[in-house]
Amino acid sequence: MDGHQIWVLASLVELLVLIGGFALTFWRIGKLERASEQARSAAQRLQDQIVKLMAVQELGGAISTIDDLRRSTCLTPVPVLPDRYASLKQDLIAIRGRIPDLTDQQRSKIQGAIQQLTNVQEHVYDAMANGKAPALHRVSEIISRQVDELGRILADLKDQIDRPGR
Amino acid sequence: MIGLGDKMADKLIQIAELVYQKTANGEINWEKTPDDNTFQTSFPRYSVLVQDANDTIVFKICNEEGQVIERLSEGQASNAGFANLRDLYVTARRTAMGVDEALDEILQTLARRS
Repeated sequence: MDGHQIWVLASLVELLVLIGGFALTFWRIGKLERASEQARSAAQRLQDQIVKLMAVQELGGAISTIDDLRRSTCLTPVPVLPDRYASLKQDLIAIRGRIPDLTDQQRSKIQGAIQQLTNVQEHVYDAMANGKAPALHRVSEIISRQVDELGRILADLKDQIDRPGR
Repeated sequence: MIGLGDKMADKLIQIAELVYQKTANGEINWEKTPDDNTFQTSFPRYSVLVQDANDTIVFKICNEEGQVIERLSEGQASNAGFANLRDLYVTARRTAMGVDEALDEILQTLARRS
């Protein structure tokens, strides 16, 4: 093997090492990108979970407030009731918007509760306008049913958070 | 109020017919409301109310905030070829009040006694 052949062989080896180095670098960059993508997805999932957890806690709070208002309806001055129910309705609308993965059935139940709060509001306004007492026993019965329905949704959502992937 | 004959009115009649059929088949649950003469059912983003208002049945569609966005009276429905709004109200009322369950239980009790 003369000097020229050695030089060619050395150049080839150098080229192969160079190509191998490039390949290794690209493979590492790809691996890093995949890891970075996985980390981004995990962070997004965590953020979604936190938003959902907070919305679920707010739902629990709203249910308690609705139930408290139902129990104290007879003691609450009638003119105050429509505003209290309107405020709770707005809470439910906001909470519904923050839980993206509700089923159609759960959405329908929440929509039903929002509608009933509107109905109660209108019922109290109508009674006041006509100088009559609102049918508070009926209001209480209806609100009680909504509390039960919302409570079931809350339990399902908590179960989903406790056991993700189920 | 709708102007019957337009596209929106056709859709409203179509919805009322479907709600009527599904109520008759027991596929829709109706609920009582604070008003003795109004019953409601809800979908993911909207609610439907049927009301006996001074002996005229009114079919209402409400939005996500519970506001009435469209209404159809018995007369309008009838003029548009849908004459079952009163039947829908009666069936919705029976469902909401649990009339079927009450009748079944009474029949069972009477059968046990005989």
